[in-house]
Amino acid sequence: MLVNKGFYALAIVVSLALHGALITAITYGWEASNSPERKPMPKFVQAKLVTIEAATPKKKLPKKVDKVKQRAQREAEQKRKAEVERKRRAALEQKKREAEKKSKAEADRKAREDKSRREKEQQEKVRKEKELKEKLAKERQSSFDEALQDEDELLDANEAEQAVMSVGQAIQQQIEAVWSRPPSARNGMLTKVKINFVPTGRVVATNIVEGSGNTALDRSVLTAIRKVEIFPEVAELAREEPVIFERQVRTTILNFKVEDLRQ
Amino acid sequence: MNAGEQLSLWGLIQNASLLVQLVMLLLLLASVVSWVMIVQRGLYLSQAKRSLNNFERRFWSGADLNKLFREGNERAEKGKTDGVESLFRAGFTEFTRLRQQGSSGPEAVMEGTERAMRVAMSREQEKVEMNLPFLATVGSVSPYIGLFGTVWGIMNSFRGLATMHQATIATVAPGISEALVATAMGLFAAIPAVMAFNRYSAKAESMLSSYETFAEEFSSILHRKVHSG
Repeated sequence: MLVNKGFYALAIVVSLALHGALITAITYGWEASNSPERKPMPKFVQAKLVTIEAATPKKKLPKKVDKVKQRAQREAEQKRKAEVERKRRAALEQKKREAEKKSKAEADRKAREDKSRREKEQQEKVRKEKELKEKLAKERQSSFDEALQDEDELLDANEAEQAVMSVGQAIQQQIEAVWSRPPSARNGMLTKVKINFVPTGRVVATNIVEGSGNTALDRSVLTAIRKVEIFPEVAELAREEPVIFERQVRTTILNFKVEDLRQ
Repeated sequence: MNAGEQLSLWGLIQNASLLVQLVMLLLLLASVVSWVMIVQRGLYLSQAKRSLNNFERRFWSGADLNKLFREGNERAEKGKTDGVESLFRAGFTEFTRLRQQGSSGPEAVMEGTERAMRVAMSREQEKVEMNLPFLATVGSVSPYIGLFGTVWGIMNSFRGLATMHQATIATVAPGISEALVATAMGLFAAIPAVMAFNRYSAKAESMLSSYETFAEEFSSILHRKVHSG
């Protein structure tokens, strides 16, 4: 029996060690298997009008500055050139004063005429350029305004669309929360229902637009709608945006699709 | 209940109801104890097998029975004789005692010897088969206990479901998952116990039959001795 006692001690140690090892193995293995299950959130990019607004003036401003600078530079250069020429001419005149006294006055006049003509041409050119530039700028401004207006309209439409969508989703969620699908329903079945609302948010009529082929399922959808009966979101929308309500929500068509059934 | 807690094993066990936790504890204990028995039985039986082979080799090597008996004296005083040796010692002690009295005839001597050996044999049988019933019990009952825990847990999780409007799998899944841990533990305790029980009972059977054979052979030797002397 002494031998047996020794066996028992050994056996207890072995058994406890075995269970301890098993428990730790299961604990760590289990946790390791479910830690990398976190899915990365989808990153979505939002496009906004703001970027256009910010971009256009930036583009335009440096151009204007450039042109102004250029013009100033050009004028300065011309002035400088004219001065040089005048100086040269004066020198020439002094030289020629003795040799050609007669032709001097003539040449002088000619030169002066020439110069004035040239200056006039130059002025004309500058004026024309200016005009053209102004015209272009005006055109651009108008087209930009148009685009802005278009965007605004689109934004408004989007807002309305979003309001309608969110109300539609709210309606759908409320209905689906009380919707008990019949046992004969299968994944992928789709029922299209037309719902008529009044501005108080109450449903006044429901019609199956497109049945799923399973009458029990279609009926279950109608029952669910009747169960909810009043949709506060619709009432709110009708109060705040009666136009949108009249145009898009009074008659709403919703799709009810059977999903995530375990079969 | 967040996702991490929901999925970890400890979370499942902690969230289970008290009864299910008790069932799990019971099963864990059963598993631990049955593994103690498995290891102990394995060691004991292999040792018994070794000593049987050892003794038989010495016995059949043609050594004198008195000498063989005296060799075992020392161990017998410590109470360390085991298996076939204690069988031999019981039979031989009875035999010499009856022979020394001289009054009884050869038939009576043989009868007494055989009776003494039968008593020793039943004692040995007890030793060899010790703990095997426990393994059998664990093997057959712990799946039921685990199943009970599971059924109880599922009952509770379905009762919670009754208050919900829409029955999704997500509302019952954690409950069922934690309930199923009990069944898993039951099976975990039962499978080794059943295997060990089958193996050790076969071993014990063969051991006992070889004891029996030895007892027969030994009594035939003594029989020859009685009738020759």
